[in-house]
Amino acid sequence: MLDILSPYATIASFALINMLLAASMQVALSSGVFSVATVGFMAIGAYVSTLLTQRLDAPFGLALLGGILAALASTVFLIYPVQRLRGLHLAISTVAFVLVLQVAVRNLPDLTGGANGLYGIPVRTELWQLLVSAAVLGLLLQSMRSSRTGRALRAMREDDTVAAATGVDIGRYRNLAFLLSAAIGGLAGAFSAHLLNVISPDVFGFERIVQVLSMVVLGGMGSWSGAYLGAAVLTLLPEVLRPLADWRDIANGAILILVVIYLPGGLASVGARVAQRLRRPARQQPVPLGDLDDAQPRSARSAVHAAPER
Amino acid sequence: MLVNMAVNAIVLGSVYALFALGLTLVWGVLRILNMAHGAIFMWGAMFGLFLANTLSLPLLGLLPLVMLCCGVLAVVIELIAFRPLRRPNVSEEDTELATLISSIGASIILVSAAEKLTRADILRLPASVFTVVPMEFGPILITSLDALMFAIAVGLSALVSFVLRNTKQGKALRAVAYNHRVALLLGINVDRLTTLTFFASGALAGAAGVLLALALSSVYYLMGEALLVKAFAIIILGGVGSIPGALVGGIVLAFSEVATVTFLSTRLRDAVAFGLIVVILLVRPTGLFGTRQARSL
Repeated sequence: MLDILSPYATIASFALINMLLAASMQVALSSGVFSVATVGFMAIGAYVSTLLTQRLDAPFGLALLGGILAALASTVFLIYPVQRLRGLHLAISTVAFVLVLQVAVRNLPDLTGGANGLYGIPVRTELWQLLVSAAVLGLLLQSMRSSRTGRALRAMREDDTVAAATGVDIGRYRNLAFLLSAAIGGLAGAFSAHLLNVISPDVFGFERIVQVLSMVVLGGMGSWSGAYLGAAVLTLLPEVLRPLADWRDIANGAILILVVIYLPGGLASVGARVAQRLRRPARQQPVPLGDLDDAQPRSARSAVHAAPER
Repeated sequence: MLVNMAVNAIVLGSVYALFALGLTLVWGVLRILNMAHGAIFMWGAMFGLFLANTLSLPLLGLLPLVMLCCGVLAVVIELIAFRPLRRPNVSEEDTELATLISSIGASIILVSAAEKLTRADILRLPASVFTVVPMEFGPILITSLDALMFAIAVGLSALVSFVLRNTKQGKALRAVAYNHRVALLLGINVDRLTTLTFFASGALAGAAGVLLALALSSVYYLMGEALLVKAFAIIILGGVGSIPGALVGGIVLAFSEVATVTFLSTRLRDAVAFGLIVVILLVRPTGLFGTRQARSL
């Protein structure tokens, strides 16, 4: 029976790895840390775990652990900029982190195979391992949501000054968000190397950043389940859109624009919206608490506009 | 040899700066990191190719037309992909992220459209566009193209700088950069200024596109991507929103690249820009000419 399922197993494995990657980026973004370093962590996880299995014949479990630890160690280079930078500056410094790593990998041929990459990696990743990892990670992130840590991270995203004022140690929690992102990214990288049996620097660059970011945004940045959903949809979408063939990229770009404009909460918010619509048909939406400070200038402005009509 | 290296770096750097100028303007004034800027630049080269083939214009006739086309393209992108995202009740950081993503979407569309049109071939502008004449000033050997590129880049930067400093529109623009909401309350038409800023940034990118297409004698659908990362480095080096910063940053980056290729290795060339970003962000996050303080806790 497994033979019949094998073509689906491949695509399911890709989807699961992408789900881990999306979760890695979402953890950072939803804590207000605008980081795309996930792709760099993935590269580190992939190369370190491959070196462990290929050169040292290490068991797969140990290689996965090695990948995670190496990704965690690499956050040393990010911890300092994280504390000083915000918003777009931080985003760009993490893009630079990914691209510097890519150049480094290209220029260390003895260790990484240079631009050609590494071949013949033993295929060790199995579907059940990915399923278990994704499920465990989902449970972990879900239980974190309502914990003190999860609340602190979300408060930080809403407004870090307020969070700091209520006793959240911003520096520590930012580092925590990075470490979580690194561990998940490193794991995903190690799994993907041992699934594809070949890695090269080309796949750990800017395009991958865009891909993972798209998944998170499409699914919804607010929760891990949104990231999972976005990753699953964007992995399967090319298969579904196969009739569109040549127009696939253009459709992808258009989907990104349409989602951020019309669906700011991502696909994950659709269910909530529909439920809300059903519960309260044709009533005005209340102003959410978070918008109170903005409500004032808005009403002031509408008063200005209304004045001449009176 | 060293003198020529320096001259090459200055010429290359001035075109980098021309490209970075539009990006820094939009980022500094509107807080939008426009990832489609590289695609607009690439379309500048494409428009140039198309117009040169159909109208067989010389460079100086071609350039204003291309700038017009790219300016309009940038305005269209702003209308479709960015304007709907400027909602009054969304936090600044959420808007930054949303526009970033939206611009990535726009970039994907523009790049893959160009890929289809060119069938991913590397094309060239016809030779009739500009005849390259070698020139000699003492020990310095340059081409007429180098001289023209430098002149256009510096001229356009000076023009932008003049407009920002000395006109009423420029003053309004600086008010918007200082505080969007206050500018609105003062009766400044922010939407119109946004359109204007995007037009200028697109036109500058288009000019850079034609000039670099000539200098590298290639028009390729991926030519914008590498330049975009370089522009990040330039902007961060010079300070977000700073025009002299963009010029100096462009020339410093070009110098570091030329020096790396000459003294170290060609393969490390691409790492220069990223390395520069990391160092600057660590040492002086506001850049050389930046005034706005990085927010600190």
